[in-house]
Amino acid sequence: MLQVKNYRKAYHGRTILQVPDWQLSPGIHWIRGSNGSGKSTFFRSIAGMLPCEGEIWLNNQYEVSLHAVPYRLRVNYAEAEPLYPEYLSAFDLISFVGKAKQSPAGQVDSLIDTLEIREFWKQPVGTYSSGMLKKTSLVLGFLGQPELIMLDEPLITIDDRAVANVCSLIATYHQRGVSFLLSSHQDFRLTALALDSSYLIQNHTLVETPA
Amino acid sequence: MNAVFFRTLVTEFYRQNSGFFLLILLISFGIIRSDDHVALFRYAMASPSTLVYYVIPWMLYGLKTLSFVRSQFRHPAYGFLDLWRLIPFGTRLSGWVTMQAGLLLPVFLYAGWMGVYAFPARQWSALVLIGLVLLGLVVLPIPLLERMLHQTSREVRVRTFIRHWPLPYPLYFIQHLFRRQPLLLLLTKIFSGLLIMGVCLLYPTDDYDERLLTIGMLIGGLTQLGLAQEQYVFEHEYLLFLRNLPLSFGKRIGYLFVQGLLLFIPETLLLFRYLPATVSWLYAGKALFFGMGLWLAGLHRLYQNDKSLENLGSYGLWGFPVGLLLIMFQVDTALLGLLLWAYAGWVNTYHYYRSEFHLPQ
Repeated sequence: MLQVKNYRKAYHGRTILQVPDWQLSPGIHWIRGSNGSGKSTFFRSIAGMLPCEGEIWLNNQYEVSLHAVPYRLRVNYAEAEPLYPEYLSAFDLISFVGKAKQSPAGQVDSLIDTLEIREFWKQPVGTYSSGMLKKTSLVLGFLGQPELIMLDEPLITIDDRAVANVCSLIATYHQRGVSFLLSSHQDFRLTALALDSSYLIQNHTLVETPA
Repeated sequence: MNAVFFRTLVTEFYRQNSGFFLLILLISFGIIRSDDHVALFRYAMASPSTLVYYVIPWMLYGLKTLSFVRSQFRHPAYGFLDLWRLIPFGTRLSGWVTMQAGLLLPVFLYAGWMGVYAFPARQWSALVLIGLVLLGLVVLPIPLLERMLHQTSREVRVRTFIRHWPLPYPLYFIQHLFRRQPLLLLLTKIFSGLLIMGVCLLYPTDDYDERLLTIGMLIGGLTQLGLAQEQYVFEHEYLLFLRNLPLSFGKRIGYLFVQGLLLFIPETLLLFRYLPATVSWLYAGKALFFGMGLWLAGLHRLYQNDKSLENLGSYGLWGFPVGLLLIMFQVDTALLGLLLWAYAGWVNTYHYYRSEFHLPQ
């Protein structure tokens, strides 16, 4: 479903990550790597938020640069450590992103209930704890009708109940045909999620490891 | 801690404003010769009441530095600056004074140059006055800085109006300006507002034509480059998700157009309020379209290449003579505006999603 060709990302001339050819089949996939290995950079590139060398295709149909709008309608991303303007509320952000991602009727209500943010979602982000902020970012990641959702460290800073809710949300969306790319230092094998493959970022490239 | 404090607040101020200083230097010493500077300030020191024309820009510069320090303290990446409050008061005070002296260095240098001429001429009253102003510029902000230091993590104000309607996207940046950069907004709007008002009032006093208004709008529009710079950084720091949104070209430009209309409300009101009777509303509309085009083109120059971030001020420098030349050669104001909007449209189509904010090395 996702094809990455001749990918390279460098900062100030220093290569962070190089992926000559990578094919990702539909499913739930886990990407690991030490701090600073380039996981978030890779996710952001796939999400179209960070320019890079090479090509990134979705279903051999939409390329991240060539088909910017239809590609982004189908690929979502939730930040590991989101930073939003302190005066905006989750309500403001979700309404704007939901509209842009063409969120179907009732989806926002369902997501804010599943991730339990209704109580505070009209308060400014500046009053949120890191867990509340993370839940907001996760809601944004699920909006619309994506084919691929990338969740960067989805299990950090949220409580056990929220972890279970996120895992069940991933399983539900997966049943509907949505694929996932997850990055986490936590071991997903300890959760109820059935992983299809696992990758490790090491020596500035991506290698497959046993799931 | 002192070194970190100085690097974060003073060195960073000069780094971020290198374009601004280049512009000031080139205008101050490129257009006015050093002999003229000497003649002007010697006259001012001989009649100290006229020193007010020196004190006002110094105070505005002081406000600019204060605004920068405030924004650094409120920036999430510089949260460690809060630790400054744990330093004993005496040490902190000397730190504030050193920081202020560092930030006000250009003012000190200019005042020192004035002093070199005031001493032999025994212009004691002027010297005392300058000394007091400098002392005030260093000392007066310190209580404000101390207050700010103890309020860095104050609770965010809850929006009291229309809380049950989401804030429309074009207002995100406007809110940011009001909450995080009120001085930048105020100084920009005061400058461009006064300029437009001045041009409109000057217009009927002689045999000027409509080009005078366009020249006013050229300078007024170029002063908005600071807002374009702020907007670029704001988008890339706080709204990273924007580049993941499937926003069509029409929507992106539409949002920017609404934002431009909101940002130019003060200029629009002043222009139509003081519009000379012989100038048509159509021409005023063209001038506004041109002014907004300058802001928009500045923003898109950054989308195209973020290395321009520190050079944006210098664009004003060559933008002014080039614009002036075109205006004097009677190139239509609407055409000039169209060229700027077309450039923005081209960059938005081909570079919007490739825009990347590089942190300095």
